[in-house]
Amino acid sequence: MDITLIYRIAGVGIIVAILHIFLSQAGRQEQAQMLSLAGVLIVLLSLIQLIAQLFRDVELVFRWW
Amino acid sequence: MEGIIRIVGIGIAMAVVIGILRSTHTPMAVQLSISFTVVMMLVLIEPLREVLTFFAEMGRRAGMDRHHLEVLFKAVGIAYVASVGAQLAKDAGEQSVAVLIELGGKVLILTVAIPVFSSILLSLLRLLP
Repeated sequence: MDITLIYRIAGVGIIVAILHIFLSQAGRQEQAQMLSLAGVLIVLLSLIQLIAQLFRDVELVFRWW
Repeated sequence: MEGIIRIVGIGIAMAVVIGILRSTHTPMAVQLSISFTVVMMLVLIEPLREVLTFFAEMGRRAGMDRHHLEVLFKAVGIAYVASVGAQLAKDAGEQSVAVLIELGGKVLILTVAIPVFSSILLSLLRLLP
């Protein structure tokens, strides 16, 4: 498990936040909300995969002996 | 040594980024903190496995019953995961979710410890005249 996944999620988060600010300043409120929702869903997919892998590893360690 | 420096460095950077995100975009900040916690736990599984193997070997050599050691490890694991999960829920602002996660941890630890309780009780009953 490498650390670059955190960087990727942080990058997605920052980009979504910046675009959200830009879009809401430009007056397109609903597009900003759509974009933030899309960003949340994308990160959620990666997060669910991460949690699944974590639970598999924890189960392996605790049932090892 | 460089392992802990790496963890602390990334943790501080993540804390700053999450602080920035929390003001504008709270769900993303919550997800970022959860993902950092999960990735850190994945990174720490390897050393944890070595420590647990060492303790299991010690317990086996001391002649302790395997089931008791297993119960102890499961209780520690459940307590750890439940406390991390409750802290994450509190970070997201959901106090009731955190309370229920901790309650679930307590109930599950008691459930896992039932065989130990019953064996203690049986030993005590055998000691009584």
